[in-house]
Amino acid sequence: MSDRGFRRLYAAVIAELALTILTFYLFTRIFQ
Amino acid sequence: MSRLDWVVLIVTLLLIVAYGVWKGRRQQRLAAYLLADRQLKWPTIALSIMATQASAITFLSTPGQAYADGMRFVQFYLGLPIAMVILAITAVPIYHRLRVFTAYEYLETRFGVGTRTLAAILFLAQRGVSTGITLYAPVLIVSVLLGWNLHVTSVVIGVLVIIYTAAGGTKAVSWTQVHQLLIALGGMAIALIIAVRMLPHGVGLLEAARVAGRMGRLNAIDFSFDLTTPYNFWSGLFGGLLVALSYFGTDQSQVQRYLTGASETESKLGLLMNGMIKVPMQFFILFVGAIVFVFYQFIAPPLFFNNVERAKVQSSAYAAQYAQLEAQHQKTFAAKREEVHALVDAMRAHDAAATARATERVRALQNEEKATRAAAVSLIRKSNAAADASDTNYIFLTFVVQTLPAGLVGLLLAAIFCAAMSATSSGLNSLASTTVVDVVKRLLWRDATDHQYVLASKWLTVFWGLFAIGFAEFASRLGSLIEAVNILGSLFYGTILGIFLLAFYTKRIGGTAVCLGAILGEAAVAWCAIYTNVAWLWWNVVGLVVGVVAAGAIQAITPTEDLKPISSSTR
Repeated sequence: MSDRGFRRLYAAVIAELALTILTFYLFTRIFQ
Repeated sequence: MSRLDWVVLIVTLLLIVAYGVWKGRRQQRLAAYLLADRQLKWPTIALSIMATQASAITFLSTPGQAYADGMRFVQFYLGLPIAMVILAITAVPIYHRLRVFTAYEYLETRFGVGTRTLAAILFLAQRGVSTGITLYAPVLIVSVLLGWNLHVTSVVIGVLVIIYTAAGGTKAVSWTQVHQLLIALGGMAIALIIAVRMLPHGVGLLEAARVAGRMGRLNAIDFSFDLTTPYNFWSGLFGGLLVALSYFGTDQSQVQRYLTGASETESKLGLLMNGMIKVPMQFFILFVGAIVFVFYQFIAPPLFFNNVERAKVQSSAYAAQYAQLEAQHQKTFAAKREEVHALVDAMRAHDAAATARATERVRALQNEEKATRAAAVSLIRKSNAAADASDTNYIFLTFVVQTLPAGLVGLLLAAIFCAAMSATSSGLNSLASTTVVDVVKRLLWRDATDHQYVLASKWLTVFWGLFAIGFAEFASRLGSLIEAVNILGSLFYGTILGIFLLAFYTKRIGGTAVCLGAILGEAAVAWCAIYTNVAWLWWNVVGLVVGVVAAGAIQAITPTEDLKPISSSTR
């Protein structure tokens, strides 16, 4: 995999984490 | 347990052992035995990394954690994906370029043999004991709940792990871990399905989630900044990042998983996939616990889940008081069950006012139940000061044993033992590798053939396996086992992380300064542990800060120390 490909993958991992945190936040709010 | 359960359990475990032995056959070279010939692809690496971290405690204790405290524990893993990115950028290229067998071997290229040996010995001390606990903890829980002989069970499981780990080396460990993790997760999925199906008529997964949320069990995120609460967004992001960096970047039991990659790309992808899957996986396991919690809103749970401690208090001078608490617990449960039904009806009718009223009543009864449980724990402590006063680890298995049909109980027990075996096998494998590569080959027996080193690795796997089994005798006096694992790790992790941070990110600090700094860091941790009341989580920070600052200060006053070039290999 090229360096550019890896940079995109790193960004994808961080983006997924951000999306997960947002999902957890909505999950907590909806079901509290 | 039924005969079918025994058949499922025994056949699953024997198949795993046979598969491991077969998969790891005919390995004559050290690189093949310890690093699977550096031929593994990223899916195997990712699952192997996850299975190494996910011990049986993960599958037993995490659902119990959600039952008792809600899902906020998931925040502990929020720093992990960031750590995977940092390690993919920094550690993996260095380890691959130097073609090291162990993480500590890299330290010699940077700081010399003294630092390498010190880090290796710290790892052996910490991982040796924690592998013993990894094996012992699930055996203890299963033995208590099913009335099995503790010593026989730990010997049987320990010997099974030793057989395929010693025979097949890293290849056997990694490939069996793939299947073990899938079996364990499959078992959790089955438990979730059964828990939902056992709920009363009219209560489905959505209603169960709503009830769990109303009763404070779906608190997956908490943005409040509070240094006194163990799990919130900030402690998870920053504390979790530090722990994950240390564990995945410097602990040979994890480093060895991604050193098996066929290329740097495969190793990086394996780590990054772990970063993407781990948080959702932990969320899923905690969610199973939250649904088990809802199940026990309709079926009466025991007042205390550890039946051995329960039996002890019931046969003590406090038996009458405990019986009173049991009666109170049943009464509160019956009233709460009615209110939970009312809550479900109100939510289904979209009646906001009735929902709010029912929620308030349920929470009031929940507090009553909590007070009764606290009184019961207090009685258990009074009756026996050495009693295990936390029953969190016993909740999920109690649910499994009491509610799952014949066959599935055996499968869930197989899943738990698979998880125990996978984490233990990684531990033994990394202990043998470090002992052979960093101690035997480097310091004691430098001119042996590859085949002799493979034989030494096999016998050292057996030695560390027997050490882990033997440790079970001592572990019974350690109290809370999960806490024991974490306390033990905290004695060494800060110092080891400090050494690696200096290796990765500084160029001006030499080996002698790092070695002396690490010894001072470890002395500071020992002082905190023996002479102060500083909480064990802070020992990590103390070891890291004292080690790094002391190394920097020592280097500053002895500037003539020579630095070894980072690219030189001394293996």
